[in-house]
Amino acid sequence: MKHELLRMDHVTMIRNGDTLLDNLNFQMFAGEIMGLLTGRDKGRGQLIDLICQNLPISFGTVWYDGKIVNSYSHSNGNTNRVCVIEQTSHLVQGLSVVDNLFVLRKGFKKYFINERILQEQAKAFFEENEIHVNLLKRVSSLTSLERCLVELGKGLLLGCRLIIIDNPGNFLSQYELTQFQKMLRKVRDNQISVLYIGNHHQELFRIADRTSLLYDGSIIKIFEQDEMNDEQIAPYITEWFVPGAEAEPDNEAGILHFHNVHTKHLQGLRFVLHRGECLTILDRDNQIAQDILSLLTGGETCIQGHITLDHKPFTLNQAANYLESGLSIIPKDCTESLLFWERTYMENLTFLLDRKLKKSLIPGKIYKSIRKEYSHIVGNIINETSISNLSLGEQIALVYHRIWLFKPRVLVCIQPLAKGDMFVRMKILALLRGILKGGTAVLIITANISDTLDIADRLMVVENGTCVVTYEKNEFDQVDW
Amino acid sequence: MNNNKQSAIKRLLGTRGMGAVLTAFGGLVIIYIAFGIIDQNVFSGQNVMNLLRSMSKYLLIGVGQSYLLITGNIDLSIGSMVGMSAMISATMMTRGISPAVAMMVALICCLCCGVVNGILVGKFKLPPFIATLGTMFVTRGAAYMVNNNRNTDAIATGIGKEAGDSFQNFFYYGKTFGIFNTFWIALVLFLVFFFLLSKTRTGRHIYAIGSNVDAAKLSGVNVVTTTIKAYLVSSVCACVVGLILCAQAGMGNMEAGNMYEMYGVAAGVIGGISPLGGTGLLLGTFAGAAVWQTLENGLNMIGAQVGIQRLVIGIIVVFSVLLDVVIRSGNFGKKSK
Repeated sequence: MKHELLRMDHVTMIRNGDTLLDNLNFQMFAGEIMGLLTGRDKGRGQLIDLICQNLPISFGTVWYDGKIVNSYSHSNGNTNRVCVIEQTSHLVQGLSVVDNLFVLRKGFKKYFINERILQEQAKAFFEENEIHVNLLKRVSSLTSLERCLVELGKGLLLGCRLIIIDNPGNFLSQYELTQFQKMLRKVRDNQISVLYIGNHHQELFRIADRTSLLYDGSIIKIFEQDEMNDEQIAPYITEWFVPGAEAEPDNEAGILHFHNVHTKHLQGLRFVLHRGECLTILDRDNQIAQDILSLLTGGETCIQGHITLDHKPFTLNQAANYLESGLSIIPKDCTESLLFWERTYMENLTFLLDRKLKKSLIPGKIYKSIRKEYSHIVGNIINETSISNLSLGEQIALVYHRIWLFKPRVLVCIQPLAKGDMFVRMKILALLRGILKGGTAVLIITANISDTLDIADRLMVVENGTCVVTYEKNEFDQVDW
Repeated sequence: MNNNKQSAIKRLLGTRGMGAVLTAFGGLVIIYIAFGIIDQNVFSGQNVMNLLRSMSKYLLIGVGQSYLLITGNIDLSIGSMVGMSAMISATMMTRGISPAVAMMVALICCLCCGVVNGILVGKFKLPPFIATLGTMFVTRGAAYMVNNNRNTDAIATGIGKEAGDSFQNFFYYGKTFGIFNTFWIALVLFLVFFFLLSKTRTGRHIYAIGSNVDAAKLSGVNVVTTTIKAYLVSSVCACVVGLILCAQAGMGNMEAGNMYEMYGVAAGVIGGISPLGGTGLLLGTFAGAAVWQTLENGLNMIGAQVGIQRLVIGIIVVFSVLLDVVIRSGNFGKKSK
């Protein structure tokens, strides 16, 4: 008989009048990997906090390991032994792995530290759990995969029986993700439970034993092993489908060419990007995005090879003024790195207008006309004076609307779907379709292809800085996930 | 039509920072009326004229400092630049050089300091507090050295009484339409810099680098150039205030402009310019300078000691910054954990 590790029975959590978790029923057994697919981001963070910290709830009861740990009538506020692995590291960067494992934990009472003994203990523990990390390294020099493994190891060392993994596809490369998932399966076999949270159903279906669909703070469907396929989830995502745009690629010349480009992480990358075309580069090692960004923004030059824009060499000077050359970039964390939080919605939206019009003074009638045009598209938020009041989806949409207004010739997006829930992803895809329809060439660099294939015309898989395989749109069904 | 007007007013009132501006203007009216009730002379025409003239210096310094505060920087050398401008122009005039040339030389020297400040902060990424602390000493040292470590004689001794009077009238004692020229000069510069900040690309870039410097870089803003431009504005303001002080005294004083950097910061923050950068309206600086000067003027007229004056002004500055921090963190009415 399966041992029930976690049970949430009719849990409702209300904060400031907003129902974040709504009559949530959730159950996890020992030794299973449960996928949690987030249809809307609402309630995701609160659910994690609730499992870890037993925050007060308005209705319902929570059992952990057979005991009631939280209920509407009483919450002792004790923390459960749960390990959370997410984008933000929970380790101290400046200390070694061993220090993080042993010294920085509750219950460590020794005043004098014998490093040799700690190292031996850590080595024995890691070998026992088949975790391979250099224990003498400082945390700051660990790779993302190593950091996750150390956090996992620390969780196991502390006796955690539930591991929560929050969107690992956002911070691990495709290769690292596969390795990490292998490790999670080993952990599961030792009767440890894993709650694997993500917003790409394909990724979750590959690893999970069961998958729950969280939507607006409620679990609306649990997919059993035999139900985890595209057909079964289709009814739940068809309402988000946005019809495709008719892009008109110029199949002859192309706008942006990479000719055998070498940098620290690029080893002879070559591709051509056409007008109105979307090319997705799957970076298996999660290393080349920064190099491509630096090349296109003037941060560095090619060691070998060259780049051409409109068949003319893309010089360092042009790169330094890349917006003037018709190039736009949306980095991974686009809201943090492209929005001005103290400025209004309109000011953020029209920030690149002076470059587009090549004027320092912009007549008021242009702003009026933009306000009128976009009020039909985005609604009343056009008058928002504080963009921090907007939802994440609206903030991300603002970034894309700004680019849409600017109409660049080439748009480079780094992991555009890394942030946000399924709704936000669909919104981003719709906006990208609009941008493509306007004739802009879009280059997507990602470590996780899941949804980007919906709009991609071509897929290039890059390993060790070089293209290992290319798929055309009609070959996407052959892509090895 | 009516709807349009209404929404325009609503938008104006909804402008970020407008609340602080209105608060400062509201405070100004209350302070002014309160002092007026205590002493009726506060309302006299002559006092109002004097008030406008005296606040002009703080307004100009405030405008210069506000530009930098909005970019998230500060200029500690602005007061010393005032002294340098006053000493350079006065020394040259006492040696018979025409006021126009003297003013140009003073302006060029101040602009050079502005460029140096901008490069140190923008290009070499020195903390603005440290970089401008250094240039503060350098410019004050230059103010001392210009006339061999002593104040200058009266400027009329070099350029003659007529030219000296013209210079002094133009910058300080003369009136146009019944209001002292000092105020008109400050108002014209204020309007120019107001327009630059609110209506031009440069203004947007200044707000952008104060709000999110990484976003500004990714949006193609040249952070170094924009920072230099902001420091240039502050140096122009410092130069003009130096000339005003020179005209007021009719001579160059080595200590002219002492502490003005802090008066500039105070005028800005009272008017709602955030010391954290990225937000604030120059209109607020106008209100801030007026509040500052009205307080000084009112406390003087009711016979308050200098100590009391400083204490009151200090409390108001701290209160203004506290208000900004509380509004930014959205902690109004919330209990801290």
